[in-house]
Amino acid sequence: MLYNEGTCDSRRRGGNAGPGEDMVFNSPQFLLFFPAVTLLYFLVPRGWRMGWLLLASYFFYACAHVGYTVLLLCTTAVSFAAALLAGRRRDPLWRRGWTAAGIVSVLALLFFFKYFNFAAQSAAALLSWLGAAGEAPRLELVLPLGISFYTFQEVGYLADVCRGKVPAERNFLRYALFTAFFPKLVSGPIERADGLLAQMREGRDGWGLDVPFDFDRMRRGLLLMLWGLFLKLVLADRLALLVDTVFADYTAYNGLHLAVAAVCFSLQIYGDFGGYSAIAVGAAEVLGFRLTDNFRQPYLAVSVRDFWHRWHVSLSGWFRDYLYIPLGGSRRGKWRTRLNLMVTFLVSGLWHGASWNFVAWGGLHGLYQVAGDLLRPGRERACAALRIRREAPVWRAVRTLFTFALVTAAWVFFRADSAGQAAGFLARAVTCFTLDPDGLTGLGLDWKDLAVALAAVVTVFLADLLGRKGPVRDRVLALPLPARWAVYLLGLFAVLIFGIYGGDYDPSDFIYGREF
Amino acid sequence: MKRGRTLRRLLAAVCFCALFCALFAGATQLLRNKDSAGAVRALYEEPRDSLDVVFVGSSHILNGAFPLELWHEYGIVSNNLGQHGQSIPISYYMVQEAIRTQHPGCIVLDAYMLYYPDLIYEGDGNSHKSIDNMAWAGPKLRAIFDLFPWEDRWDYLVPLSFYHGRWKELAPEDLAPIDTTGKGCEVRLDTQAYGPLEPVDPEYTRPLSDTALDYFDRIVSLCREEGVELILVCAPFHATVEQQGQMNAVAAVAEAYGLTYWNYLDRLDGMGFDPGSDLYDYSHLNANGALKFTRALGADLAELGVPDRRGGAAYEGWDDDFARWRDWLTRAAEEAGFPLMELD
Repeated sequence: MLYNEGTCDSRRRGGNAGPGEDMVFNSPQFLLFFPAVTLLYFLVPRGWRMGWLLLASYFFYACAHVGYTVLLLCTTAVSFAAALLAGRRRDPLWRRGWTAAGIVSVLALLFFFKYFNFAAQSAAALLSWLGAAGEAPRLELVLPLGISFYTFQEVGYLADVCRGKVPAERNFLRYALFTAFFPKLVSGPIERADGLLAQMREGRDGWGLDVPFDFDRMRRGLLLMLWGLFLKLVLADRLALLVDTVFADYTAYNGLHLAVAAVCFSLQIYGDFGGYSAIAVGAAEVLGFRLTDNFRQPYLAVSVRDFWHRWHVSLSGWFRDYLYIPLGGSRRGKWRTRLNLMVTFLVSGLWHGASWNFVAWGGLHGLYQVAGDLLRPGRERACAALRIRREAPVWRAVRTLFTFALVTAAWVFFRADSAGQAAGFLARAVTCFTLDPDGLTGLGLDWKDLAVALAAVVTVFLADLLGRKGPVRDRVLALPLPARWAVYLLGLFAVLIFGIYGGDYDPSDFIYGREF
Repeated sequence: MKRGRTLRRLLAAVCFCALFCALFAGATQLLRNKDSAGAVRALYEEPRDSLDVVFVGSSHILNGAFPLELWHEYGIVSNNLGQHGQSIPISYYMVQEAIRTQHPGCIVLDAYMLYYPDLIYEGDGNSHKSIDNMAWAGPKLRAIFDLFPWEDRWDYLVPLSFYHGRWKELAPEDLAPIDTTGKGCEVRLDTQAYGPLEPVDPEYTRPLSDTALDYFDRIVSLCREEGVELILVCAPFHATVEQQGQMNAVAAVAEAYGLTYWNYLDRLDGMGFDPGSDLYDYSHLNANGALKFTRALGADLAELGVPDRRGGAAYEGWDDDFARWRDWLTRAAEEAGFPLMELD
């Protein structure tokens, strides 16, 4: 998956990531692993379930790199101990002290593995610019799988304990499972202690470790997993063929080709990460746990701010609660709010990848929102003068398209190898634009693949439209049996026949060929 | 009440799985590559233990030995289990399959691939042609788990994962039954003219592959255990000096094992072989070359004592099969504009 930083990084540097790179959700190995884990989970005595899931989760992680299970264990132990020590203290100074110690420890590991080389190279470049010569040290590191996700989850937990929002967990195994729970270990969602950990501790709203096997829940979970596989294999991995072709040498294409590639990447990353999240949430649901719904029809957003309420919801919420609000949020005046927004989005960009193009991507999203805020009065006056109703369907559609265009332009920075390449790409898309469709079938997808991709996009769009009024799964499950089975079989065979997999296709190698 | 609902759900789940499996099998069948499928599938159309001879090996034997011509001229009942790029390791499992289904008195192994160093020949495509068309039984499973790295096994265990991309290439022929008219053989209907082989000292040899020889040793052991006579052959082709050296080296291997080895490169003139008109390309016989080779092969097999089954009650259908084959062959040659030699 595109957000799976560990794998892509290990590939890029030629690190030995081991056979388990194949234990991603779209691999045959996972098709064996998941049913086996689920079957045994519901067969073993309830008291053993936590241990079994923890074992399965560590096995899942060890498949990627055995050595990094030690790192996961260490960071889990450190955050567990720090929260326990902070939770016992009533003195705010001590509470904050232990919390800070825990947060600094886990973030130090993240910094070391993910940002050390970036920081060293950036510092060397700065010194060189200032006239001081020097070679940046470079460590040959393999970025541990999912480290950004579980580190942020641990930081959120420590902060929540410090604020007294949740009690410190006393059972290490339970906390370890909260950190390592395999459906969300690699790419989130980033869970909160009052959500997943509470489910694991005492159960919540019918979810948790003690819930019995539930046929309906399994069916709902599997349906969501199937949808995730459709997004990933039929949509994202097909569009990746076009996107990779064009981005590999963007100067060889005209503006229309570049615009198509940029739009395709917007859809690819949605299919990729949205698909991954759907599989994660569905897998957890089969096991009886509810994870955060990470995507809420993001491309139907009517503003960039709205987009961030719908895209990678667990991360947006994390940045809101643990960075934006502590910085002052919107409580300290307009300009401070705008500054806080910029800081939050720049850090968010950096979280997505240790490279300046990700910082630029985050900064662009911050700028969109600041600009939107600055232009709001004028916009509202113009709407009033033109008698445009804000909620009119046509106006909503225009805003949705405009938001999609802004987000797509920003994604170019996310996909490009550098900020310079992204700027060149966008400049060429504008200056060399033509409406001549010649060559569209020479961008890595022939017309048959383009037709399948288009059909997949239309399916996703319709599903998102329907999803605004409640989960599409509920509608499917309410259908009469023949229609329901027809939907299941259509989904299954769409994935099996039109999915990009098998043969020489390597799920991790194919999609993770970039650094995040 | 609750129990009744559970039972209903269980029943529905079983029905759904059955429906899914049926559709999955149908989709696999529709999407799989049918090229050369008949070369292996033809074996399963014969009644069990009804054949006396089975040919195993590469495209040299696949394009060279015509079972129904052997029937017509010598009354030999045989099947051609050769396949494009069939390496000796894959031939080992084909021999297992031939013994499992037919237990023939004689297996004729094409010696050409004894030089080839790897387990499978140049990529997956050719191996899939052999393995995918085998029946789901011990030999196929053993081949998959023995010959392929674990990451490739999935494509053999679930062939749809390898073939699903063929939805773009589907044609009306994909709905037609697999053609087994030739009882496993394939016919090449074109000609490339070559001159005579470069003369080579019969003592001149080139090394063979250790991997191939390892699996060859297993084939010999298996045939001995099963009481099946193993014969090595080298079909005619425009062999280079080095290839002639390799085929000469096979003679020493055959002698070491006490096996019969017919190297037809040494007998080209005796069988009326004309390199100017009997080759499809440097490596394969065309239909005329194959007819000459088959005739010579049949004579040798008959001399070895392979029985003449003509007139046998169990083989009544073979004359009809031969008529269909000849009809097909002459029509195909006409359509291709190929000057087929005069047939009796």
